[in-house]
Amino acid sequence: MIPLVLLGAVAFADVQRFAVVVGNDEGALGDARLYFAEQDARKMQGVLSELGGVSLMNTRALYGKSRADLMKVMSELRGPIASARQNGNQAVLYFFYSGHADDTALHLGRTTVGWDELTSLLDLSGADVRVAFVDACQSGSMTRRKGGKPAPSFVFDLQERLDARGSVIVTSSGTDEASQESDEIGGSYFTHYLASGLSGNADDDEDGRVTLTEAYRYVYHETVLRTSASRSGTQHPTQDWDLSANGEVVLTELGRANTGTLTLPATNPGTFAIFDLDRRMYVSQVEVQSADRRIALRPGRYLVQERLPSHLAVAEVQLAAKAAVTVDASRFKSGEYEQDVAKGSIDATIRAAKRPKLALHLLVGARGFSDPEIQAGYFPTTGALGLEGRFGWRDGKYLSADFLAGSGTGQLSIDGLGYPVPVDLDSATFGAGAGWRTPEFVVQAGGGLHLEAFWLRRRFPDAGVSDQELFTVAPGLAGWVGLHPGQFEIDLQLRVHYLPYVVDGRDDGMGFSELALAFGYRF
Amino acid sequence: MPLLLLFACTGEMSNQIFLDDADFLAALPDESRQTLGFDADTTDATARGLGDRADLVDLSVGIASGVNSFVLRTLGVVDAVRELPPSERTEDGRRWGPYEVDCDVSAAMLMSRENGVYGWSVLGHPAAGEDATVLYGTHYAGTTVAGGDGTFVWDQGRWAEWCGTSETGLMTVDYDNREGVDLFVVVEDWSTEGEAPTDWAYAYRRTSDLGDFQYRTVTDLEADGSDALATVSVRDRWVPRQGGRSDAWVTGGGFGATTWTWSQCWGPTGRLVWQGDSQDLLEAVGDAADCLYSDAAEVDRL
Repeated sequence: MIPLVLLGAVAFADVQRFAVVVGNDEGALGDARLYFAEQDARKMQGVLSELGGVSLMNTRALYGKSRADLMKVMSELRGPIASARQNGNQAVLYFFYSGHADDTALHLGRTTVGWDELTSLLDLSGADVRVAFVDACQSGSMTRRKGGKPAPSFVFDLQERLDARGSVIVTSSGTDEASQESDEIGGSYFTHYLASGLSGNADDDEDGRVTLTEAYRYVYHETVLRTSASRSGTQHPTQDWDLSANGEVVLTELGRANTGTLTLPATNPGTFAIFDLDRRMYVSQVEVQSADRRIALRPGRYLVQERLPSHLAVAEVQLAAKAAVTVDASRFKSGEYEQDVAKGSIDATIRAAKRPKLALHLLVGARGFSDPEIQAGYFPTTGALGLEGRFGWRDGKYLSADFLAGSGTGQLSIDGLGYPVPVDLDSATFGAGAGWRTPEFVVQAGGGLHLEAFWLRRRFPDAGVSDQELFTVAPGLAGWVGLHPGQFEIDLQLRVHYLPYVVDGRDDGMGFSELALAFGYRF
Repeated sequence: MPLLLLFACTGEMSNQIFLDDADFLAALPDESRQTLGFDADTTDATARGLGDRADLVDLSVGIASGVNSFVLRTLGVVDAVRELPPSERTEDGRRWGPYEVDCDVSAAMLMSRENGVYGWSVLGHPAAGEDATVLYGTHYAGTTVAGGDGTFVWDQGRWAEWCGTSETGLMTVDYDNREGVDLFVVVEDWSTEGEAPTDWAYAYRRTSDLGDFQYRTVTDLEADGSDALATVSVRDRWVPRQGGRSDAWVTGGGFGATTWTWSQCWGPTGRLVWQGDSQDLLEAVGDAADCLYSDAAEVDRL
């Protein structure tokens, strides 16, 4: 696959294409976690790679990453772009973003990139032509700030040197509109129709090429149409043109070397879902009305299905490179709704998004007993080191599992003895916790129940006294507060436990605490 | 969950072995319980108002100080082991040492316990000569181990033999720590540099609201270097922070077979408030009505 793609890139000797693809399911505080943003970005990366002439080497993909990562890749691309231009090539940069935003900035997780800053980053890339697709709420703020308006149509050929300079920005929604995801189509409306448009649905003149104008027209029409009845209101994509040349920007070519073409003929109209059986991925939804629809796809096995009132019509297709397959009515067989693989794929994506996120923590701290007399006479405070895994759900619940080992030396002060008793204290705990955390601020706190399997050993060096060990289960409470910038987490944790053990007739029970700094990373 | 917690505990944590160490140490005599002390204000009086000082208080404090220094020197051997963990532990026994001590002698302390009775001894091992016990005792635990009673004995003669010193004698201290401090100290056959052995005895009782010190000593009462020493029996009784009364019975010396009685009453700081004697040898001072105790009490424990 990769060699073919690279070979494809070589074919465009005079035009070097670069792409930065960014997807982030998470947003700022108060942003509901998105189900499909990162998946949409991956889908667009595939389209740009397979049909848009962007080699893997020239692609930078950021999924769930932060502002710093975007700054880094934009900086990294300046070298290759400058190199391409020095070699006499024209440099084209595609930027795609899918995620949260507001009227001032993109939300890359907890970090933000201002619209103006993004524009500057694109301008500073050094590419002759910058084409940006921004699928985010209120993303129209970006085009509004530029004050642009649609320009006359251009015609550029992918295989010819682009005699143009400037930028084109296409956003998924207006300045005060939400960009919507749909469980039905398994993604955001905008990206879904952009991807399927670039794959061939937008090829109005059926010349095997999808231009920016065609793509925009198709995306605009489909997005407005499909969102007009939604609760969040109609979503209107916007565009801003700032290109200093005549011509049309061709975004994808359906007949590229490593793709095949799947045709859904007008003789069998309807709405068809296409599922990639090899990669277990929902690809596209295609509407066929009065004209044939051609979709460019990478070679592989595909399932084409139409949802009819009583059953599914299902066709399995093997598509080879450069091949053209027509899926007419004769290829469909009847299937049950339980076998709806496209719907199953969407559901799986939603389930995956609902799964908890895992954060791993390195714990560095101390373990000690709360009663000063117990501490002085039995168990000195020791240092502690451990690991914790914390699973956090979208609604604030969390479950944790941890291991903490403590070790240290001390001296016991025992009434009636005129000398301290040296002691080595070792301990180890396996803990499990359940609780709730505050919403995902940069500063975050949480707390709940915590249960520990507790092992403790005392050794008395040079005292001629046998080692003593204890194993028990200690119930308790845990609380933490910390900073969670991006994927990183630094928490101060405090756990307080009751030790159900009576030592030397002290029937008031014992409590012990663990105070630790937790250095973590959230996956 | 309760069942889990109930059955989850295994193993044992305990300081019992060290608490037993502390019990053994509590059975040993120590400075705070086996020394003599006057009421603090009264003792301080010896250092102030020379003209007003009660002579018998002065004498008693001096005697007590001498007894204390002897007892403390003895207890120094015991105190040494308080700073060290036992060298060997058994369920009802402890051993400390042997450690090198003075005079090329190594010493070990052995202790045993049975039904609240503690026996202990310091066994000396000289570089030359036979092993011998120089200090030994028995302690009966009370409501607490330390709050009991017992006896210990110091064999000064054995120690002098090892170290080549001239002091010999045997000191026996009976003590009762159950209420306040009660000591009965007997020194037998005490001799220094070949002098004729003498016996001394001291009885001391101190609670929170009274003090009682009785002793009998032989002294040059007139301090004129005469060989005719007087036997002086003294009893001091006092109430802390209020004052007390000292009565002395003197025979021998310049008095021959006659018994001369000498009484002094003193205030809270040891200041003399009344003085009288049986033969009007001393200047009468004050009014007997100012005495805390109106009558003399005889030495009855010696």
